[in-house]
Amino acid sequence: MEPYYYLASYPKSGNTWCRVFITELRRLAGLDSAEATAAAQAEERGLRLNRDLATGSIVSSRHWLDDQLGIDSADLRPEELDKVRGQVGHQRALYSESLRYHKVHDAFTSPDSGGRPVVPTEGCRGAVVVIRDPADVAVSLSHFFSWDLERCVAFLLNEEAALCRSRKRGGQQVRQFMGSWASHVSSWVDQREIPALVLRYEDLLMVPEREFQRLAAFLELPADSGLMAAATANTRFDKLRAKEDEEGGFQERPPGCERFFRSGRSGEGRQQLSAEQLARLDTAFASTLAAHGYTTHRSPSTPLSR
Amino acid sequence: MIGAVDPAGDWPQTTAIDRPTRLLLALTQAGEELEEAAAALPTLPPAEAQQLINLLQRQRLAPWVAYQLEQAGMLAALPGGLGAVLVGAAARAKQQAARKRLALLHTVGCLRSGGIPAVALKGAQLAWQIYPQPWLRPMRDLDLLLPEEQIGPAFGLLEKEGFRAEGNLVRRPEDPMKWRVNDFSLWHPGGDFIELHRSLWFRPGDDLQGDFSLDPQFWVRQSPYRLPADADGVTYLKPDYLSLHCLVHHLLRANLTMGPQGLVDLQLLAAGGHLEQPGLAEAVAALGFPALLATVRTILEGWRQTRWLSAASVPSWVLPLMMTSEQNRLLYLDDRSIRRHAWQWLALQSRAGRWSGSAPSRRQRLANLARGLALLPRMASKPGVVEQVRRRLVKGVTIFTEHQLSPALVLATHQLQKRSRAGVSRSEAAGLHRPPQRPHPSMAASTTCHQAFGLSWVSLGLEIQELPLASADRPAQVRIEQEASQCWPELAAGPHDTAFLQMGSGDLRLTVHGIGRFRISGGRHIGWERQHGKVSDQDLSTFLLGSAVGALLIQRGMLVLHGNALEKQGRAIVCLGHSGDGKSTLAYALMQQGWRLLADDLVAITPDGLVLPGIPRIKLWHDAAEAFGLDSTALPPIRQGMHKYLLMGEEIRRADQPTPLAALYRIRQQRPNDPPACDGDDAPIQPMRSQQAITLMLRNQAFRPRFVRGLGQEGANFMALARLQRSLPVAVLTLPHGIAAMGEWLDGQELATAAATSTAAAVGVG
Repeated sequence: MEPYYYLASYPKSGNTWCRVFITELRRLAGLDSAEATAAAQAEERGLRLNRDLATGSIVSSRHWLDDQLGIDSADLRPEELDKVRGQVGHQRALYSESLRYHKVHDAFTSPDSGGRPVVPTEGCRGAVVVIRDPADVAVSLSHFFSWDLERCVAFLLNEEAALCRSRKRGGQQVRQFMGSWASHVSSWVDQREIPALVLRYEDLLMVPEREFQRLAAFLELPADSGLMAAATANTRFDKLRAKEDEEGGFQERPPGCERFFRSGRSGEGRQQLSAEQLARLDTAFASTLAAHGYTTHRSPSTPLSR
Repeated sequence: MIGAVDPAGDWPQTTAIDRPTRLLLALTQAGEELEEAAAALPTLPPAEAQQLINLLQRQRLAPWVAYQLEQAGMLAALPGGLGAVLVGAAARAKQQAARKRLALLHTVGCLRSGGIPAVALKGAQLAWQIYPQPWLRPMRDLDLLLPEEQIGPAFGLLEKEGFRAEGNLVRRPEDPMKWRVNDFSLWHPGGDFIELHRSLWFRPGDDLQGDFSLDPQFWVRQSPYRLPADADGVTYLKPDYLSLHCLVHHLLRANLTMGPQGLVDLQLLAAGGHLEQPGLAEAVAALGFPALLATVRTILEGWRQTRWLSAASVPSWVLPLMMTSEQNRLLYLDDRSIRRHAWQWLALQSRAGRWSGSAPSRRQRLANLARGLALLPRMASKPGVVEQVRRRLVKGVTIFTEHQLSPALVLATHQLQKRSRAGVSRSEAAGLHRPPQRPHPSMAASTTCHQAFGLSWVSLGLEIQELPLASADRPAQVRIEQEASQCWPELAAGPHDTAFLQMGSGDLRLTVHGIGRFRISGGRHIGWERQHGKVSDQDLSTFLLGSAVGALLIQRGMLVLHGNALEKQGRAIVCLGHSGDGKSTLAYALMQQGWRLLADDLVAITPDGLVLPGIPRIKLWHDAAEAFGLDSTALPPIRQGMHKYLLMGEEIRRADQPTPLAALYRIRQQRPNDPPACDGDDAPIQPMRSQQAITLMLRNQAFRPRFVRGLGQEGANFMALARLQRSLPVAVLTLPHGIAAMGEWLDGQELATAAATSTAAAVGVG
């Protein structure tokens, strides 16, 4: 079985940014052919343009599960599916070499997985766990789903939250159980089945060289300083955003729906959420926030010393 | 490892206790708990009240609860039905206790006259020594412990005294089962059942050590274990040994339903200070069961803290443990002996079956035997058996209870066990007991003939409502029947196998967890096996149609695509797409435009370009069904409880003749932020120009490419695709978002020709 990694995160926490960086680093290092890079970039672009959560991302992809299970996964109930997803293999044939970094929004286990991981772990080298201040996640979710902030805060707090949860609709992805933001983070950080590297979105913004260096080292990718500097510079948030504008050309953008690389700032949540909403998040997530160096009295964050 | 199970950590939710049981437990307590429970009784719904009455009677707790309520002054206030049950039970219990005492004195007197000592055990001692009144501790039988060598003489003596050793409950010392039986039994002339025990818990080959009744000191005059005879000449165990025996019996050995009554026993022993005897913990430790010791310690700790073993103070896991007493023994055993104890458990079940008096019919027993035998060799030879049994035990559901084992089966398993002890290999043993290959005669009765994909099918024992019926006059080309997967030949691992699929040339095995297994072989045969009795025919046929039929068509060398096919005016189109792309929604929308359904999900195309009529149904999700204005409550779900529905029969306009294929569309869903499909041209139908792109797309959209590769049909498939794409217009069809928009747009389209004209235009421009 080919080795692979997970890029695990709560939605809107910087997962895609990390994937773009990895593709760029591999391209600069000459690890992938031009075709493979183009394919990876096309897929990445496809993921973003298709609004990310609606299609394509791999670990929850029906297409992949159907292939592995040999059945139509839509004929199974979500609770039946969660019991077998962990036994599904990552087969080389379906995906190109440069795409062996699987994005996943599922929590590591679900109430239906019987205490076992929902995702396969056999052959997995490790998980990059990207986390972000939940207040900022709320704002980002709000732009992404076109939900009001209150609904986003409730979603972050909901211990039963899941993506693609409807049992009445089909779709290209299966249900992904997440639980609350803190439960989701803990499920990945506290698991002991595969090595984990925790990256904070805030640190990626403030000290990108250092953090991407850690990422490259964890993924055993070449990380000499020239290469790192170039890859980091090419995937700076403002560059990605400009590039998205350039290639996007959306003609019929419904009102209220934003681009994928939207602001990339941190600290928006502390400005936009009400004091009461912030207090709910801070109280519910106190220990997880503290464990990852988030102060609840929000001054612009300082990078976590490593 | 069973021995390593932490009963406190691992107890499942599924054994949650329902309200009548909770009430029952609370009614056995004192103080507030009792009062609260009693106060809830008048408003109990009739069904739950009846359940409570059943529990009280089955658990033989009615006298104790009546006494409790009377002591608390609440018996009179009970609602009529329940009050009458309790008062009546108390009166009967008093009579029975008096009769049992006479029987006990008579039996002990008879034995003493023959010089045979006896100790009254368990219920008898609890009733007359521990409970406030003897009638509060009903018992089914009288248990006496005798020196082992005296059992035979005692039997003879008692028979001479008019005791009856007849009937199917009786076990005589010369019983062939005696090598593993601990107690022998006969009837007192007054109608009570007497059990003569040769030891307390020792059985030949048993793991449980520390049976003090086997200590040579037990029967000596100044025994450290026995009390002196009471005024009536009855001898009992010393209280600490009574406690030990009760703990072992209730926590480890309790057969049948001793749970709540056992808890009351332990409460009263604790209240009398008998659980705090200094030697007790050591004695439990000497049994060699660390988990049992932990259980006892927890109970003792609970007692020390609250002085009352209430439902609240006993850790939550103790109660379900006691409620599922039949499974406890296995829970504590270690993995080395798991299988042997599984056999013992079978024997125990068989005895319980004989005692119950409701003998299964011969036919039932044969069916059980076949099912059980199919199961056992597999259990015995499977490496994961211990873990599997452990999981099932922890769930509180054992393999054995599911199968309602019969005595005949137990005898057969004994033989099997003996053979494997005698050195017969497991596989040989398994071979000897191979289950019948043919399905059970009652199952074979339902034989249906079907016609689909140009083939005639016969299904034995499985109703497949989605497949069109046919008359039985054509010989069947495909046979669908039940098989035991353990009889399938070994299949070497293939490069395309997954955890759920094994494939070799002409042979595919599919496991659907929780549903069953399928074997598809030679393009002519589908074998299926139900994983357990709760899997419905609909569950099986859903996966059979979705995967097994596709595999079979691939084995026959057909070109199988994943999509659906529709016909209008003698021309067919095929729409391809992955799960979730909206194929079924489009198919239903097209039927509103006068198209007829040729096939859904699986589309088989002949070498000369004909689409074969396939499965005439479509599966619609709830939201699509609603959007089409269908009454989803009237539609059958694809599987029980799912919000995806089957449309078939009269809901479907069906085409039943092979139809020439006119165009092929790859379906995409228009999403709100999508860029236009191609080069700034936003027409929904975009012809595919590049032969390479078409090849790639068709290979991706083949039905389960993994099956094609694993079955070694890639070559045949490639040729068929090449032939197809040479002559066929192919286009990408981007569906407008939303069902209303789709219907409106389709209204103006001519899909049979649109792909072709677009292609022509594209070529012309190019």
